[in-house]
Order: sequence, then structure tokens, then C-alpha cells
Amino acid sequence: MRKLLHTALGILTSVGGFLEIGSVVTAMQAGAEFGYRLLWVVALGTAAAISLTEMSGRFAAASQRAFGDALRERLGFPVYAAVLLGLGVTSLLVLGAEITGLAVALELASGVMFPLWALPAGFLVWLILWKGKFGLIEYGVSTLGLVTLAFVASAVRLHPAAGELLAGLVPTGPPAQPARYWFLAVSILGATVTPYLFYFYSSGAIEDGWDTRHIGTNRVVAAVGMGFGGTLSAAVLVTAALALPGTRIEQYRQLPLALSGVFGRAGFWLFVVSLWIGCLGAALEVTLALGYLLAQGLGWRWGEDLPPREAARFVLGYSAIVLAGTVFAVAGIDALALTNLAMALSSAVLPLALAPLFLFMNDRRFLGRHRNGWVANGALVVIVLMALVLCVVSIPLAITGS
Amino acid sequence: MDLIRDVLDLPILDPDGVPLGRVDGIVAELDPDGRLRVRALEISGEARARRLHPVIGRWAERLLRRVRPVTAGPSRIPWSEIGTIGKSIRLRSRLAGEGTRGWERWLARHVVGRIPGA
Repeated sequence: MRKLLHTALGILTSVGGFLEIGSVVTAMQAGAEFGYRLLWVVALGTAAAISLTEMSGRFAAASQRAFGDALRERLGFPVYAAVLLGLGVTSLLVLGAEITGLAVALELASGVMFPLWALPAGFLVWLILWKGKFGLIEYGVSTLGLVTLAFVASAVRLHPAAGELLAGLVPTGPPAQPARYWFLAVSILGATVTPYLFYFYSSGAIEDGWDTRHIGTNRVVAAVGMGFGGTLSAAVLVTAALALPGTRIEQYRQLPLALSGVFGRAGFWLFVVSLWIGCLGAALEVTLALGYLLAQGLGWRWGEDLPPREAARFVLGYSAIVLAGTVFAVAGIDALALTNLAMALSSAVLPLALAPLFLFMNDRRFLGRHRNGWVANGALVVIVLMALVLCVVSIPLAITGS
Repeated sequence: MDLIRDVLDLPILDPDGVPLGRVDGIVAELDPDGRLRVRALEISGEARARRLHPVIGRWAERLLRRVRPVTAGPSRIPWSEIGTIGKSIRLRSRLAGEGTRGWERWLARHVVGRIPGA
């Protein structure tokens, strides 16, 4: 029973952090501009995310190390520093987008311009990290995140044709504007296969004290949780395709239209609350992912459940990260442009973040008999190759397609 | 034992299991008979910076000399104080790791400890 409860909570966890500003914006733009034609990208990204999440959990449970530990231990300080730099810069942009998203949600709710909400939003993120234990972040925020199910309700209510949905799962070329089409495809993948997520997940498994007994549970959590998150992204895309066909979404004030078109005034508020919770959850996860990576690689004492005094360097590390992430919103940088850039750069940095996993997941000293089999290795090779392609095309596409 | 594979970059814990840092550098000396003898393990930003590039190492030395908290002592742990080596390195005595606690102590006292609710 306890195990079942743990599984259920784990699934909620993955959902809470999944539908954040990156997924919402990219899926909404894709649906509004290209109908169901980019649905296959959501499915592909979700499959990759399931596979990588399973590996992250299994790695932590079997080796008692998070990826940050393994990077330093197996590949040495210079390689660790390179990954920290790449992941650090892109994650700060993602964090900037999430905190801006939080501030935008507050603007939509209050009418007060979002840069004025930036400091309160950043402070809230910091305060939860400072006061909260890992369980609060894991289960509290993600339970609230269930409000994002509103998108599933709206997609169902709009009666999408099943045949057309299935057709969207088959990759077809773009009808027009190929640069824009592929730019959105790359952005969706960047938002779905977020590199920080797997570093966060492996650290979370250590925080929760997982061991080899959790490997079965982990498999279910990864598949159902990420599958559910992917369904949410797909629901956003479908809602936008039916509620805002042919619209180019270029301003964040357009975002609530997707739900308010379906549910009226209530839809507007559902959107605002969904955006707020989703961005809050993701901001906490990105900050912790980066804080953990820093602490693990440098051998600092870390953990959300330790009193701050006993992990001073870790605490100051995440405090500095939140502060840096808040700067974007304070400066009033355009929320959508920042989100699109962050997602494209996230996919550019994927090979750097994921290639080491191939080494770790096949290391006998780390994993013993829980090493990758040929199926998992096959999936990983495909994902890393895909990441390499994304890395090459993402920057040129970001220039031509946005 | 392969020093680079099995010792470098491992976490160092005190006897109570509190993490002090990772093995950033290994201090070794050449004996008169030509054999390399390990003297100490080092936890320091300078050692990490040197591993990136000698020039970065020199910058780090200059910078850290200025900003290092006064309480921070030598961050080298004599090889004789090393207990067990496995997934991590355990020290024999708490005292051996004292020199590496400078930053954590200083920040806990002067920064984190001053924030309400610490």
C-alpha cells in the first residue's frame, strides 16, 4: 500500500513540473499555427522523456549517486565544469522564463505590469526553498499542478476528430513556412526533453532515499507520469488548434484566449492559475537541479531537508541562482521571446547533458546488474543522435524561425 | 590502486559522514630512490582551477588569496589521516578535516545564520 501511494505521488510529481511555460507556449504556438501537424513531436519528446526519466531513477537507486556525482567522479573536474557551464547558462534562461511566467500570471490576475511582480515572484521561489522540505516541493506543488488538467477538459470539450488526431501523430512535412515549423518542433522537444529534469530527478531519488527496491516503482512512475505530462502538452496543442486556428501567438496576453474561448471567464482564471502553478513548480525544480549539480560536483553538503545552517554553501548556491533568474523579469524582457529562446537553447545543450549518460548507464561499477540492456541502450543512442541533430539546427532555426 | 581513477574526485567525508568536499588534487613527492610517494589530498578552488588550465589556476590563486575567509586554514589532508577509500573517502579524525571547513563555517556564521529562520 505504501509503495502504491509512493507511486501515485511520484506520478503527480512528474506532472507538476511538466506543464510549465515552455510546454504551454510551444504547444500553443504549434497548435494555433499548424493544427495537429506537430503532434508527433510531442509524442516523440514524451517517449524520450519516459526513457530518460526511467534511466535517471534507476541510476540513482542502484548506484546511490546523482548524475552530478557521477559526472565529477567518472569524467573528472574539467568535463564536469563544461557540463555545469552549458547546463547552467541554459537553465538560468529557463528559470528566467519560469519566473517571468509567474510574474505574467500575476499581471494577468491583477492588471499590474509584470516587471513589478518579478521580485515578489522570485522571493516566493526562494522562500519555499528556504523554508520548505523536499516533500513539500515534491508533493505540494505537484498536487496543485493538477489544475492543469483544465487543458484536457477543454480539448475534450472541443471534440477533436479522432482520425485527424491520429494523422497528426505521423510525421509529415510542413504545409508552409518550413523554418517556423521546424523551429517550433525543436522548441517542443527542448521543452519536453528538458535537460535539467533528469538531473533533478536523479537527485530527488537520492533525497527520497531510493534503493534497488524502488527500481520497479521507478519504471511505473516514469512511464505513467511522463506519459500523463505528454498528454497534457498534447491537450494544450489540441485546444489551441481548435480554439485559435491560424493565430500567431506573439504576445503573452494572447495566452489565456485558449481556455477563455472554451470556458469563458472561468477559463481565463483556470489559465492564470495553471500558468502560475506550473511556472512555480518548474522554477523550483530548475533551481534545485542546478543547486544540486553545483553541490554534488564540488562535494558540498546538500539536501533540502537539512537545516540551512548545516548546508550553507548549498543554500547560498540556490539563493544566487534564484536571484540571477529573477533579473530577466525585473528587466521586463518579453516573456514569449525569452521562453522560445530558452527552449531552443535547451535543445542545443542536450548532447552535452545526455552523452555522459551512455557511459554512466553502462558502468558496471556504478550499476552492477542494473546496467542498461540493449533496448535501453538503443533508445539512448537514438535520443543522443536526435539531440545532436537538434544541437546543430536549433541556433540557425532560432534566428530564422522566430 | 589507480590514484587517478580510484581517488581523484572522490567525495571526502569526516568520521561522522559530513561531506567536506571532493579530492581536487593529489600532492605527491618524488623520493630520493625515484619513487612517487603520496603526501596529501587537497580540497581547494586553486587545485580545481589548475586542472582547467594553468592560467586559470594562477588567476584563481590571486583571487582566492584576497577573498578567502581568515578562518580557512590549509586545505591539505595528510595521507596518514585517510581512513577508508571506497565510494567515498573517510577521514580518521574530525580534526584532520578542520582546514577544509573554512568557507562553510564562515558562510554559515556571517551570511546564512543572519537570515531569519536559519
